[in-house]
Amino acid sequence: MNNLESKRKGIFEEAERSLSREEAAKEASRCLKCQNPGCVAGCPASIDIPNFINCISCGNESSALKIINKSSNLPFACSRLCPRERMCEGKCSEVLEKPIGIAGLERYAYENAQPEKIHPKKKPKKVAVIGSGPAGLSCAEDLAVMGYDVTLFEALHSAGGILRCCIPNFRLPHRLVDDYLIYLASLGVKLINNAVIGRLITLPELKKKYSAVFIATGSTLPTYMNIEGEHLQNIITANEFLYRINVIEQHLFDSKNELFSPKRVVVVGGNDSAIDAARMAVRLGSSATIIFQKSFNELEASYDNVSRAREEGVKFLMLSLPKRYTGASKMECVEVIQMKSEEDELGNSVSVEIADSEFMEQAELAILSLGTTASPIVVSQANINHNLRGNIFVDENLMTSAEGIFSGGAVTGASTVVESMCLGKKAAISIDRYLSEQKKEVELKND
Amino acid sequence: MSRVLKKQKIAENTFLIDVEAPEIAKKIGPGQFVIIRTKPRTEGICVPVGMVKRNSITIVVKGEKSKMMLNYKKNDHLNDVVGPIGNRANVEEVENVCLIADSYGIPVIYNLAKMYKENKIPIAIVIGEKSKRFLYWEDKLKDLADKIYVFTEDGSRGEKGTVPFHLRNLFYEHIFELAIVSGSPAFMHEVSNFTRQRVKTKAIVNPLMIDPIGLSGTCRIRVDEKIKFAAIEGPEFNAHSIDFEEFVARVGKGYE
Repeated sequence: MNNLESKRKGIFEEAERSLSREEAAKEASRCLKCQNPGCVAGCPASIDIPNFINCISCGNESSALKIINKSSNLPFACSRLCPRERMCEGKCSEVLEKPIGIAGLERYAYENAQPEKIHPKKKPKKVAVIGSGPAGLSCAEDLAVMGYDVTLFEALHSAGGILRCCIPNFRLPHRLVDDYLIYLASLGVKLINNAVIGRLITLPELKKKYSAVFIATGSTLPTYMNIEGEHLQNIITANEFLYRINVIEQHLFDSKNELFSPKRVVVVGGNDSAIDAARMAVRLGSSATIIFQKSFNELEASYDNVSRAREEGVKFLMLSLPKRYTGASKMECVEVIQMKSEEDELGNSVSVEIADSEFMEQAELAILSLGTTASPIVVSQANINHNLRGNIFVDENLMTSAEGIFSGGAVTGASTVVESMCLGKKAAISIDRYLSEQKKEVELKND
Repeated sequence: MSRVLKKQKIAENTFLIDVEAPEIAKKIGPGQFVIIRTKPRTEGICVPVGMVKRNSITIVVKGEKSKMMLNYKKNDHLNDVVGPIGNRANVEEVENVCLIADSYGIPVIYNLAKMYKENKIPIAIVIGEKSKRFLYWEDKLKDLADKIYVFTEDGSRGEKGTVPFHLRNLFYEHIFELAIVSGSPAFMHEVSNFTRQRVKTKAIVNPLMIDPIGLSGTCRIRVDEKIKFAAIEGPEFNAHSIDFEEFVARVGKGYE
């Protein structure tokens, strides 16, 4: 066990500290204030990055946050979770030896600014938001700021969606989600937990009570490889592993449970959830190995997450594919076949199996993180067009096939927190326009 | 928070809890479950619902899980009651129906029996357990069924023997168009094996749902070679399409 590994064990708090005033000022002063800033183009939320960095270099954190908040509702989450190497920082000027630490500066601004006090002018219309993940939260905030009476429905007993259920506390402290929910409540947003829309209240019933509805139920259902032995008892999904720890906090009162005390864990998949599960397993005292069918450079997870995982001692078994799990009622071994990268006719990189290269990897727990699909519960009873994977079809204004019902976030195909947040914001604008037009129509009729 | 209106021990390791849940009471139907959490920082458990009143529902907590209800008394609160979970069972237009349950499935078939009785479809009910110590609601089921059969393995109540053993005679004497089974995984497996090629059979399964939206994947079950989520597509499936061997291996024979 290396030093960092032994340090991380049992530590579920965030390890990365934020920048000091001096560090932030020094980092901000490196910005070249480019004419055509690549960072803004690379940011899905198009935050005016050079401008907020300029404010930080002048020591004005509150103005910096004001600029960020114009385009982003969740700077506390985006600064920690965005795959910045593929977004803003990846597009930073090549003149610089290394890109500006934009995410670090965003976090610094959020933590050191005085938040603005908002007193929305109340509007009489009611809007329902289904799902309290990044899309639902940001849509609820923007609508509440516009003055609408917003009710946020969450199916689980605790709100936050992916920010709470899947992302571990060490990557995004959950107290920040709590703080944000308190802020939403101060804007007048009503949060109803334990409300499974589609079962407790159907979508048509909701539409009768609310002038508009925003569906942001995310992509929740886990997928499987459908291979031999996948049903065995100690094979669970990353969703389940992280839900039990993040939401139920089961590792605290049930630490002897075999899910939280295995010696060896294999995690199948290359997305952020897979890396999160492996890093969590390390913190629970296990040795964790990621099995992924493509090469290291093709990992879907963010660079930050992967490099932290490597530092913490997570092993990576790349170009490997599980073929079957063996064991009587409990999984004991996973049979893995090695793969090689090849180019197909279109020039795309594909992984193909190497014949007779199977080997056995022993483990007491296998965690599957093979992607998710959207749940059809909400839309099944309403006439809303969606595809076989449950993704809802929307028009350019994010309106679904049913009038007054909008949708956005992972349920419409967004793949990152920041993309979901942007769709939530866009939906709020569309809903406001839709309700304002409705009001105008009523006024015209009355005239 | 949901207030407990009544707690009653109705059989060995079996508690009936009447809990205030007006919204769920309005919506819950036959075949659906609820998830309860007694206090913060506990795993949710999925339980069947028996009687439904205007403001409350009656849940039955059984087996190992019932231990967490031991100290509960009237006016205590359950931290969360979430539901309904799964789809509502629909009435099949059949000549007659045979409802089969062990002690885990009694609340489920109680509601199905009510639904079929309202639709004037003749009902036979079969309940079986190891011993009469585990049985409850025989009188309630008797009121709903045209005919009720009780079997216990030790002969302490009704005829001695297992349910699959007695079904052989029963299915020889009577012709049923539909059978619906609910109970512990091993029980449903045995019944389903027996009814295969004899009568169309549905199973209402409860595969460890810890969250109401299928997020964790704990409620998965293989049906017709495909993975289905009981909380989303279930909990009612064609019993003969369910891979019960896999189901029992994953969930265990009972729900402990």
